[in-house]
This record gives sequence, structure tokens and C-alpha cells, in this order.
Amino acid sequence: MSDYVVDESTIFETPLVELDLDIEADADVYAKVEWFNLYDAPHGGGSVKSRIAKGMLDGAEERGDLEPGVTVIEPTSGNTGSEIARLAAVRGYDVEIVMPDNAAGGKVEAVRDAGAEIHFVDANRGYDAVIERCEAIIAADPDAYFRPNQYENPDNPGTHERTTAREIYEATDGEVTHFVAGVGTGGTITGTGRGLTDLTDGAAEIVGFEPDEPLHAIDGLKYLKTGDHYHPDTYDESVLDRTAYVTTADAYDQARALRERYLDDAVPIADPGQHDEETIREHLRVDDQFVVGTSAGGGAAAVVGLDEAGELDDGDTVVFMLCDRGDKYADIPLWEEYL
Amino acid sequence: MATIKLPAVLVGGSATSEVDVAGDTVRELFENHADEHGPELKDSVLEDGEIKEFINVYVEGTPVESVTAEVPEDAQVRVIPAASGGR
Repeated sequence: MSDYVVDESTIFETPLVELDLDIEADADVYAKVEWFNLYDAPHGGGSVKSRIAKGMLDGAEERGDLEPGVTVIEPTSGNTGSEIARLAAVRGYDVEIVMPDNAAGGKVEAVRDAGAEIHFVDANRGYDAVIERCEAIIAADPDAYFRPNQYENPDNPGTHERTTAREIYEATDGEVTHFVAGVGTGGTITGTGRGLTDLTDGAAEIVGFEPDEPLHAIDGLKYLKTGDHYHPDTYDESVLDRTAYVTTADAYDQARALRERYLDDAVPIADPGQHDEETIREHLRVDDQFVVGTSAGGGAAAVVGLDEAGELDDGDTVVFMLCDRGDKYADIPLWEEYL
Repeated sequence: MATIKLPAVLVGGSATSEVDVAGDTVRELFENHADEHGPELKDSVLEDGEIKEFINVYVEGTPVESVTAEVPEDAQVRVIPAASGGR
């Protein structure tokens, strides 16, 4: 039995902060601060993937698909791997994570800390090769493994539909007009989008964003714009009202703009979720800087892009996701000069 | 000639492919590749004549930061984004 400890009760009910983006419309822009899932865990706390790791493991245990003695295995670009590794270790399972060898250092360390075995795959071979390696490992001993499978498991979007959507709806007093999220597995945009569409009777516009270039560095997101690509079962485009495209350069620029904007000013807390203000203030910044991950920068860029396209009006209420904290990326160009 | 190991995301599927390209510097390598095979790889790697901030270019396993970096004869060149994204 592993002696690794994380507090699963800190998952869900994350804070909502109000952000001052450079937009023309007099709209309120809010963001869910997802590293407050497992906020006390080392290497940047948790992430938006803490939600689905819990949802998929809970679901598998309830259905009897995951039993003692089985090894949990998952292909991942990082965050899902670290969150599954953390939660599965606490529950007593051995874990193997398959990830590309360019995964951000903070994510790799989080997986290692949880005691999981890592199989690295040459990043040059692309993400499909990561999935193929995982499938080959399972095929060699199928009874030994359980794969949550974030790309096919309905508990991925289902968890967001039950939790993220309701949290956003309640924290904005039902006034959310736009929800913006990146597309990797598609679970966040599909599940939260379904939930918000239901809760707002279709009033909320659901906007997914994807990388604009095949060779990008927006963590966890999938290039789907052109060509023949693997399409996750967890991604239902029919939920979306529109798709936006974001360059890595714009994602970096917006992440750095947020850091600059809040160097001297506190980030306003619109709704604390399950946390007290002291905890939020302690974990919102790193080295007294408000630094977010690459996909969070991408979300901000997508909101700015909507505004530039004339899609935001005065009085709108926009919500996007700060999927993880910047210290996971201290070893890549986004933050290596700052952290 | 040097060999560029093409990223799978630019090739399709999970297989990489290699292409031999002439050039004494990183810039020459990607410009010559564009002349022979089209601009997709060069446009993915270079912006305003420099290596994009978030793209890592490795020559014989060593990261290079400038397009003026020398490329030895028969060198292996790899191109990888500075974070995991994939397809």
C-alpha cells in the first residue's frame, strides 16, 4: 500500500476569479481556477483533470471495473496522468503512465511523486504514438490493467456536466452568456457545455478552441483543424455554438499579460467555491506572480479573439478555464525566465 | 546532407519520416526543405526568420537557439514543440 496522501475532498467547487482582459466590450470575464482541485499537492496543485480522474475512478469502482490488484494505466500528455496517479495511489492501486518525452517537468515530477511507473514515448512521433504504446502494453497482459480511457469514457464529460457546469451557473447567478474551453479530449467543453445549455435553456454560448497550427505548444490540446485525426468519443461538437482557433504565440502573450496585469494588484475573487480566502490567496500565486498554464493562456486568447470578432456585447458574462498553474511549466519557454 | 526527422503531426499517423536536405545552417536547411517539399515545415518552425520561441530544434541531439547554428554533414535534426500537445 502506498503512503502517498492527497485530499480528494478538495476536488470540485473551485474558485471563480474576475479577470481584466484587454477587450473592447464592457463584458465581465471570469475564470475557474482549476489548480484548487488538490491545491495542496506539490508541483502546482491539481488541475481541471483532477475532476475527471476522480469521476472515472469512482465510476469504475462503482461498476466493478476496477478491483484491487489491477494496475491503472493511461496515455496522457501530463495532467490526466498526474491526477490519476495521485488518486489511484491513495486508493492503493499500482499505476503506469504513458506520456510523450516532452511533457512539462512539473507534470512528470507529479507522476513520479505519486510512485507511478512512466513509459516515455518519442514526442516526435506525435500523440497517437502515446496511445498506441499504451494499447500495446495492455495487449501484452490484458487482465493486469485497467485503462480509464479519458478519450472514450463518458465519465469524463459526465463529471463536468454534473460539477463544472453547475458550479459556473451558480457562481454567476445563472447569468453566464459564454463558456470557453479548449479541446483535448473534448470532455470539458462537451460536458460543461451540455450542462450549461440545459441550465440556461440554451442561452449560454458554448465556444471550444483548438490550436491553430499542427506543431503547437498549448498543453493537452489537439490539432484537429485540418487533416485526418483521431477523434475522441468524448468530444461532441454538436454541443458547441462555435469553434475558435488560437496560436501558441497568442496563448503565451495572454498568459504573460495576465501575469503583468496582476503583478501589483490582487486578483479579484468572485466566488470562493469550497475554499476560504486565506487559502485562495496562498495558492493563487507562485513567487508572488499570477502565472497560469499554456492552455489557460489559450483560453484568454480565445476570449480576446471573440471580442475582436465582435462576438461579445456589453453586459455579457464570459467564463473560461484556468486549467493549471504556471509552475508546472517552469522548464519551458513560457515561464522559464520568470520562475 | 543532413536528415530531418519530420514530426508525425506533419506527416500523419504516428509514424515519423525522414528526409535528406542540404544546408550548412539551420536556416538553409529549412529553406531548402521548403523549396523542395513546400513551406509547411518551415512555417511551423520559423517566424520572422528565427526559430519560434516554443519550438525546439535539435541538431545531433543538442538544442540550438539560432537559425545560424551550423549543421554538420550527415547530422540528424529533430523538431519538437516545447510542451506536449499532439493531435
